Amino acid sequence: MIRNWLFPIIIGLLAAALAWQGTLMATPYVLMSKAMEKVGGRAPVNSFGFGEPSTADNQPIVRPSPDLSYSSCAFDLSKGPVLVDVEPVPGHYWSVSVFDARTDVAAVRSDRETGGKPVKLALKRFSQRVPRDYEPVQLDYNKGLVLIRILVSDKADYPQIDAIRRKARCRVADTK
Amino acid sequence: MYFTARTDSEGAPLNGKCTYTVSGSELDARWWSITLYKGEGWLVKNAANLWSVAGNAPERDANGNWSFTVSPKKADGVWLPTGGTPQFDLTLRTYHPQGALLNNPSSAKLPTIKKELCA
Repeated sequence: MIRNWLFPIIIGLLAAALAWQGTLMATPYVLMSKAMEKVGGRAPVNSFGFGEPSTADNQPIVRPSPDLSYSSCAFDLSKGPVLVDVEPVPGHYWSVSVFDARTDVAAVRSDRETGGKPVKLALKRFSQRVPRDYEPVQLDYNKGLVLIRILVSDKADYPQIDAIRRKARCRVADTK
Repeated sequence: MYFTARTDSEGAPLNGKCTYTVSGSELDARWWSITLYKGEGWLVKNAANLWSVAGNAPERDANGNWSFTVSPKKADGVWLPTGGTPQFDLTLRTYHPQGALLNNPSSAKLPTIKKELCA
């Protein structure tokens, strides 16, 4: 009797294990896709969108910080490398993070490392060539998200911070 | 580096109808803040439009210790409203942490959350 059920039980367990593994593997991509839709959707692909300060009525993503100013660029490297230029914000903590399609962090630069200089990153696939004056960041996927976070420790500083962050650029490199 | 508390210092879940005193000493970081979230991590509507306390907001005593109040109703001093949400968490964000806070966060001296009273 048990022998008759053994094969279906093993197949069922294998199917469940495969489904579980599949879900685990797919989850980061699904989460990133949602984040790119919600956060990156503020602007066209390969350009920065500049989010308004987080409040109870403005929460595009879970666990937003009301003390940070968020700007984001959903990028796509299928048409060539993408260049990212970010201006420094003097006297404030700020950082630029590059997330790939699997939510892995490909690069982080903060004001501490840049020493007051602009950040110039070239997001690229293995075979793509980038301008020499940009720091190459190689990605395993075409799509991902660049996130700029700037600390707004005093709300009176926000207009000045907002003006500086809007100078950030994200664009496909002209490699012709 | 982030730390999240879902319970008070006695281990009871944080309740938006209760008043808490959050206190601590200087944290070894360039800047820090504590934000109140409900559910999966959403800011709570409140009339004061306050969602976080910045590290430089509470006054320090002679030993560098600080405190602020978390409660549904406005409190004296630095106040973080719960908005009356049934349960909440407090997230401590530290920017550019250093020393023991960075190298041994599990033994870091983090702020305490003392329940005072509940409505």
